[in-house]
Amino acid sequence: MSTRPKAQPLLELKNLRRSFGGTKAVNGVSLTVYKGEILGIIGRSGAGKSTLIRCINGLEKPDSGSIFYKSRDSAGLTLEESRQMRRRIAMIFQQFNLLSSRTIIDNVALPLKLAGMSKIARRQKAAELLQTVGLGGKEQHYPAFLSGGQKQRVGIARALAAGPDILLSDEASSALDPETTQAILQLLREINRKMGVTIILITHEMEVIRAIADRLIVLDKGKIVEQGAVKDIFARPQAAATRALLQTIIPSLPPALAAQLRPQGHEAVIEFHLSGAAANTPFLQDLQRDTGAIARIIHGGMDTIQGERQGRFFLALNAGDKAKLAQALAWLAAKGDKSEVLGYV
Amino acid sequence: MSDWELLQKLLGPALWDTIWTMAAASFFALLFGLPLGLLLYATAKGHLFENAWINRPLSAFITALRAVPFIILAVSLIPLTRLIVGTSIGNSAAVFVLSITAIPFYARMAELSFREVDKNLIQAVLSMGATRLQTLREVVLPESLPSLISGFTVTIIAIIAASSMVGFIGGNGLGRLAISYGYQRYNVTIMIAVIAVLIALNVAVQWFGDRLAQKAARVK
Ligand SMILES: Nc1ncnc2c1ncn2[C@@H]1O[C@H](COP(=O)(O)OP(=O)(O)OP(=O)(O)O)[C@@H](O)[C@H]1O
Ligand SMILES: [Mg+2]
Repeated sequence: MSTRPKAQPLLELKNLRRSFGGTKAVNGVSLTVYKGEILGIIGRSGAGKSTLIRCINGLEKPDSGSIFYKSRDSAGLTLEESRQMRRRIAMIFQQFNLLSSRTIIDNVALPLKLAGMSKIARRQKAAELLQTVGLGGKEQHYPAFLSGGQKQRVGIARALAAGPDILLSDEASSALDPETTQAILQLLREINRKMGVTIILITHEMEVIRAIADRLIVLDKGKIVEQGAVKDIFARPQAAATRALLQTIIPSLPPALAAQLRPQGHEAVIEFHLSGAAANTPFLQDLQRDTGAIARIIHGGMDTIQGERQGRFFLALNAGDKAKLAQALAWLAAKGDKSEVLGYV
Repeated sequence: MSDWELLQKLLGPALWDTIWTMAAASFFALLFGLPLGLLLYATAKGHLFENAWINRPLSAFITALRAVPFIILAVSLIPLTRLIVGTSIGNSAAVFVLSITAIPFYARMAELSFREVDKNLIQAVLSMGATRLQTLREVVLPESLPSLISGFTVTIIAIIAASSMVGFIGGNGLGRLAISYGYQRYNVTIMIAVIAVLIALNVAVQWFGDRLAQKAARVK
């Protein structure tokens, strides 16, 4: 977490660039991944997320810039050393990428086989991992017989087999239904907490970030446009790209209500966001006590992000006259993260 | 001799010759075609061992060989057959010419099978730190097995078809029987019998191949 004072850098990217023809897929990205965190990287389709992650695990060669893994420049590694590094950085995929010709247990054991471990030892390790991900008893099945969620569990067990420091997830839950997605995300959280595996989570869904990420990096057109603790970015998004991505999970004014908005009226409709300590106060009562303005909630609600209470409301506020309205708005602005008059009814 | 007695006397040995030639030529098609197919696949552009210096000439050679119709190839190969097998007629000679045509055929079929392997899967295994050879052995070969089997089934059937034609240039087997009795002496009984046996043989090979491929696919 960014707030952890003694966070230890595990992976550092410095000014990474990668273009395809004229497309600057990754255009000067510098970032640090700290040991033990869950770092979310979000961006719209084509923002360069997959290219970035492929540079990290060596499947793509950056045009320029450097990658430091445990303070060692990966450019200076021999072929064998970079293979070793790849084993420390495991990956799970949207399409699972399991071998259809192998049983579940042999899929999980594959990284160990590649590393030259004996059959008995790797089967034993794989069986343990299948227990960990909740697939005990399915060892001898083939992937074709599993559901998407189960396949991803196999993918996770396989990624863990070589005992990696970092787990890269490229849209690992995007092919799954919401319920299964949550189960997979909780499994990743558990792995992060219990095994201390650092996780880099790539997604275009804020819902995924919201569920488990500690820290968030927003990527747009190959560049980082915003980064910080998830709760801070959710409460006070700065970049336009971030706001657009947040649109999907924060409440917006229902069209029927939006259609009633007028330039003038006796009630002001206000979008009001608040977080932290302020979110735990009876703010509508306080507003009335301090300013005399009466507000009612017409839409929205409270949420908990990373243990922090955050509220997003649409208020209809009756202040009486213009001066009182200004006073009430100033009060709200001081109290919350956002207070914006959308119109009047 | 009645047709029936003739059939009883000739059909058994002819079928045996055909099966023997077919089996031997199929064996060589697999033995040489599979590695050639793998080489074609692996050295192609964008694949694990990309190498135009190997891929282009090899690919051109295989295409050229495949361009010659079988019967013309078989005739033009007679001197070479004599040199290598010692004779240009009989089963061994037939196996030789059939192999020469079946090897490039199966090499192409195998190449296609390898290409069907999901590239993402290969990348996934490379990202685990696999070497390129490990990737071929652990992913490309096992994952394409069902398709390799189907391709081999098609190859065997092509070999059976070609082996009948070998009858024209001194090969034994069902083809020869059909030509010398069915065609030259117009013996309808023998002709029909040969056709029936060929159909049965094809159906059996196809059925067996399908079963095997399905078993290897691990989806049922
Ligand atoms: N191998 C490639 N060849 C050509 N262009 C590529 C290649 N890989 C990526 N690109 C381009 O680079 C840009 C970034 O692609 P990338 O796959 O990294 O995006 P992404 O953020 O992962 O998107 P998505 O959410 O759709 O997966 C896109 O414009 C894409 O078309
Ligand atoms: Mg992507």
